[in-house]
Amino acid sequence: MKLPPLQRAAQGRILFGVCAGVARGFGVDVVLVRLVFAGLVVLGGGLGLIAYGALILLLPREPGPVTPWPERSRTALGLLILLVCALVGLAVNSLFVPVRILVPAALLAGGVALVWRQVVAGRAEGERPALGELARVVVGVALLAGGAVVFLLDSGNLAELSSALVAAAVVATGLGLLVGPRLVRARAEAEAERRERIRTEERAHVAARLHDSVLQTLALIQRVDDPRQAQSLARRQERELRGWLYGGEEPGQAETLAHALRAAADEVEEHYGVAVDLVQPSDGPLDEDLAALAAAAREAMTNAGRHAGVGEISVLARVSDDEASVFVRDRGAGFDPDAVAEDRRGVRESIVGRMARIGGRATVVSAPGEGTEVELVLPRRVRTER
Amino acid sequence: MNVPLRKVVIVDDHEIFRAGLRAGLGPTVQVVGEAGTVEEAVPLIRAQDPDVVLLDVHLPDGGGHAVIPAVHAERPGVRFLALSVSDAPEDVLATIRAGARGYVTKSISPEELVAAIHRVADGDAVFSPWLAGFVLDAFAGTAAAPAARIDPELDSLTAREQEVLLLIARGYTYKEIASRLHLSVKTIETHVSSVLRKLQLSNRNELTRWAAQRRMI
Repeated sequence: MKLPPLQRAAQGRILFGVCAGVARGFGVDVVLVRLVFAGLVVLGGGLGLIAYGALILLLPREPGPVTPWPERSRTALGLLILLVCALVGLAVNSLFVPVRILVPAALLAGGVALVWRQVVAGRAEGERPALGELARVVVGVALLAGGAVVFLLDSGNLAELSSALVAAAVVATGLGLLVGPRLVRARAEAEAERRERIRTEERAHVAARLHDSVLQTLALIQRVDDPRQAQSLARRQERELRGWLYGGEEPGQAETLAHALRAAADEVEEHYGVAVDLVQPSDGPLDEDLAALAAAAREAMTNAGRHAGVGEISVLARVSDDEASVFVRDRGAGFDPDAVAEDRRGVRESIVGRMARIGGRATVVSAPGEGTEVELVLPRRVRTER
Repeated sequence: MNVPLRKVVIVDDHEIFRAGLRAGLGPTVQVVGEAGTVEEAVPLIRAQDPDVVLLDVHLPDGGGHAVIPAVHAERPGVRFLALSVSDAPEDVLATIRAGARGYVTKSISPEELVAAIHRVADGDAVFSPWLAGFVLDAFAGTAAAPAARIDPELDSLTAREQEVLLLIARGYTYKEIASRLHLSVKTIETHVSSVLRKLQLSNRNELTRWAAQRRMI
C-alpha cells in the first residue's frame, strides 16, 4: 500500500495538523498519535513540545483549505493551555527538565529543524531560492546561535550544555530520520510526475496533429477511386508532414520565398496531378520583389503542369546577396516560343512582363518535344539592413 | 550494351521500403543482402562484399555514417550510396564526408536509381538535385570568408564545376548536361567526382555549420 506523503493535515487538525498528518502518513489512528504526543509532553516534559514544534517546522503543509479556526478553537485552545500549563508546571518544579535547559534546547531544536528542512528540501538546478526559504535558514541559524548563547550566559556549565545539546540533537536527528527520506522521495515523485505530464502533453500534441492531417488524408485516400487524385492527396500530405517535422513552419512565421514557392508548388501539384521537385538551398524574406518573382515562378509552374503532359517538374530557387533566381523545368511537350499567339497572356504578361517590371529578366527556352525551361533572374538591389 | 551485374546490399530500417526498392531494381542489380541496423549491416557487408551498399542516412542505432568507417578498412572496394526520405543536411553531409559516393532521395525513380547504382559502382559520384543546389550554395555562400581558407584548391569550385552542379540542381541528367555543355558524359562524371572529393576533404568548418542552418524540405 502506498502511503500518502508525510505532511501537516489541512483538514481534521486541532492545532497545527501534526498529529493528524503523522497519523495519515503512517496509516495509524489519529487518537493513538495524539495520545503518544500527550504522553511525550507530560512524561518527557519539554522534549515532547520540542518534538511537536520541530514537526510543525519540518513538515510541509498539505495544500488545500484549512479547517477554519472557529470550528476547532475550543478544543484547540483548551489543549494548548493544558499543554503549556503542564509544561510550565513541570519545568518550574524541575521535575523533569529545568527551564534554563528547556528554553535553549527548544531554540536549538527549532534551529536544527529549520536548517534541516531547508537542506532536505533542496531545489531544482538553477532555481533561485525563494525569499521565504532564505528567511527560514536565517531564522534557523539564529535560533541555533541563540540557544547556544543562552546556555553559556546561563551557567557556563559544560555538563548541562552538553546534555541539552545532546537532547536537541537526538530530537532533531530522530525527526530527520523519520521525515527526511520521505521528503526526499516526495520531491522525486513530484519531479517524475512533472516529467510524465510534459511527455503526455507532447504526445497529445503530436496525436492531435497527426489526427488532423495524416489520419484524415489516409481516410480520404481510401475512398478515392482516381489514382491521380489519391497520389496528389498523398503528396500534399507528405509535404505538409515533412514541413511540420523538419521545417518548423509554425503559423506566424515570417513569409519567405521558399514558403511562397512551396505554396505555389502545392497548388500546381493538386490541380494538375504532377510532382513538383522543389530544390531551395537558400531563402530570403518575401519582400515585394521576391513576391513578384514567386508569382512569376508560380505561373511558370502552372504552365508546365497544364501543357507539358509529364509527371514531374523540377524547380530550383536560389537567393544570394546579389541575385535571386528560379528555374522551372519540365521534360514535356515543349513549344515554339516564337509561335505563341499574342493573346496568350501567360508567358508574355505574367512571366516576362512581371519580371521586367521589377528589374529582372525571364528567359524561356523551349522547342517542340524538347521540354521547357523558364529561367527567372532578379538582381537584388543593394539595400541597408532593415 | 553489356551491362555488368551489380551486387547490392540494402541497409534501411523500413522493411516495406526495402521490399519496394528490391522490386524496382531490375535485372542488372542483384540484391545479396538486407539489413535494418548498423549492427546487422557491418558483418553482412563484410561477408557479402557487394559492389554497392544503398545506405539509409538514418538508422535506429546510429546514422549511415557509422557503417562506412566500420567496413571501409576491410572492404575498401565497397561503395556507398546514401539514400533518405528527408533528413537534416548535416546528417547527409556527415554520411558523404564519411565516404559515401553520392546521395539520392527515396522518391527517385527506379530507372534513375539503377543508373545511380551503376554510376557509383563505377567509382563515379551521384548528386541529387537537392544536394547539388546545397553544395553550390555552401561553397558560394561561405566564399566571403577567405580567412578560413585552408586549401584554396579544395575550398572552392571551378567555374565548370559550378555550371555542372547548377544544371544538376535544375533537374538535368548527366546526359542532358553533357549535350548542353557540349562535353562527354565521362567529363561530367569527372567534374562531379571532383566536387565530391572537395566536399569530403575540405577542412572548412563552415560547410558543417552551413548545413546545420539549413533544413531540407
